[in-house]
Amino acid sequence: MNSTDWIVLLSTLGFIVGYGTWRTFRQHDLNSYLRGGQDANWATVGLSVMATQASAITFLSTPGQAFESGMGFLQFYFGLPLALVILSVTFIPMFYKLNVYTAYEYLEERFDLNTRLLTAFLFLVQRGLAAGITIYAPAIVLSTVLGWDLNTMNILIGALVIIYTVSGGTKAVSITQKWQMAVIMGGMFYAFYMLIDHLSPHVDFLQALHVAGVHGKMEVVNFEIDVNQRYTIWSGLTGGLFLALSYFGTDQSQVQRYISGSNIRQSRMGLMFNAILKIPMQFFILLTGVLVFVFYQYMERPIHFNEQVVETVMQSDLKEEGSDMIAKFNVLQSEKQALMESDLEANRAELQSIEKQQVALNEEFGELALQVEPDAETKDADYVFIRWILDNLPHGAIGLLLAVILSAAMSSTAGELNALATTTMNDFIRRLRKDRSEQKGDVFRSKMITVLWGVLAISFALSARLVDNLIELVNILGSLFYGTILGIFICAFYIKRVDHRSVLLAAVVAEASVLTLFFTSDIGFLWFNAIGCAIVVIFAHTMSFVRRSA
Amino acid sequence: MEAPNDSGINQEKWTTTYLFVLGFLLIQILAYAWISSYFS
Repeated sequence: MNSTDWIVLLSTLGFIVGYGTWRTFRQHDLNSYLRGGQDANWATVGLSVMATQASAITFLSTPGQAFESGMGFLQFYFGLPLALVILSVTFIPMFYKLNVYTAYEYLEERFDLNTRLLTAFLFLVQRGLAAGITIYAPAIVLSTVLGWDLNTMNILIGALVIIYTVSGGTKAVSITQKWQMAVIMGGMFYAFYMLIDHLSPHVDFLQALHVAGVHGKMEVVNFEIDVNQRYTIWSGLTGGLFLALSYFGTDQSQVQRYISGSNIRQSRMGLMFNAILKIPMQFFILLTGVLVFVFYQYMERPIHFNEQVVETVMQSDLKEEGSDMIAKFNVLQSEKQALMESDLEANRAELQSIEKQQVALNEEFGELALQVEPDAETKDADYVFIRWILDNLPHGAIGLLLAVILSAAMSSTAGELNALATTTMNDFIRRLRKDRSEQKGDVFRSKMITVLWGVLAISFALSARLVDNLIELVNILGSLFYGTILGIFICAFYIKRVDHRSVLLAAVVAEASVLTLFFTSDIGFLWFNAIGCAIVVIFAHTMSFVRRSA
Repeated sequence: MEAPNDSGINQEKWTTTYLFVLGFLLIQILAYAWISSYFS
């Protein structure tokens, strides 16, 4: 990075933070501060929903995932448009009819206060932890690659988000997210163009896709019925549907985005905007990763994209083994480069075999690094895209792409902090005090709560290194709670006869069952979403039936 | 309190919008299936 990159990076981030703060700092009441005055149009709602979902990891890891496993991950999003249509038909009109600040407020109208408080509490635990990870995940990758101090990165990302989220509340989050999405999409289109440009001496765009196809990277849709395969059209349409329903329908960080629309129509249009554009956007990001893969078929390719892993091995007693592996890897790369310039179809089997050997060497090298340093970051997928950016883009553009990654981190963290503060203020503080109407000082209290959640998120990000495999841990924690929350909402919206006592008991039973299964069985954690939801729905329905019959 | 019904505002227009969204999903899946077989 040179001074041009720093100027581009700092001016982009500075503009977004400054603009968001300047445009929105005068918020006098809770409706303006927590719901943005409910005057957003569909474009603002749509971009805000998209920006909240797109975290930095989307732009760091997704191209890396396509580099390693191809386009199949796209199927994970096939259930999303279905979920957004369902939410648009049923959830949105109800949220507007009841004029709610949070999704959990609706549960008190439908069931009782205890159900509302339990669900809001489960949300706070899960999203509070996730906010720390949204900051930590890009900080660890950028600090490793750029040599920046990890703690400084955590504090910097967190502090920038706190400034405008505290100052302008929901409106500041929406306004900045529009600009952040503009920076993100601009940067990604530029990276895509540069990839095609770099490949042009060797292949054109269509030929590049054929090269990717030789290695199975263009297999987007898999129609096989096999539960052991993580991404098939069937798991995408069913599992993806449930996940999107829980995320968009019951997670306040998303609900808050679309209830800030000026009316039902604007909110629905915002969701339909996502239902139409989300899959093409993910396709484009994954395709960028596939083109990075094709790029490294022709150019020099490192054995590991995280240079620190290479340094760890080469500065240890295992450096001879490491050197041998690098030499073997480079010989394979030269053989491959020679084959790439001749007939692709004739060399298909040989190219596949070389790629397989290179992947095996990459993994073995990672294991060597782990022997030297058990904490080494050997998950190469997170480093592929950032390495390509740093090695191949001109100065200025590197700063822009770093702004893309940090903008994505900030947009999703802002949405999370804003939702955590709203839920704390609305579902606990305001609801549990004697006078529930808005009081003088409530906006200030909401601001202080936002600061508190921000500081908590930063503290969690700072201590994140102490926990092994932290991202998985947070995903596990999410799966332990999401199923129960979704089950409660499904009962609320779709099962008329379920009463409040049955649903609360069912939620407690479901949560206890999920936690027991988690500690006593080997069930994959993603299944807990479905198990928790099913237990709540079946148990609440049966209990209500028994109670009515008695 | 009972479970909600749709608000009923411009119901026909929204049904068309939802059908368009779902139709677009179907077209995309078919296009991606074609891409998968063409570039295999």
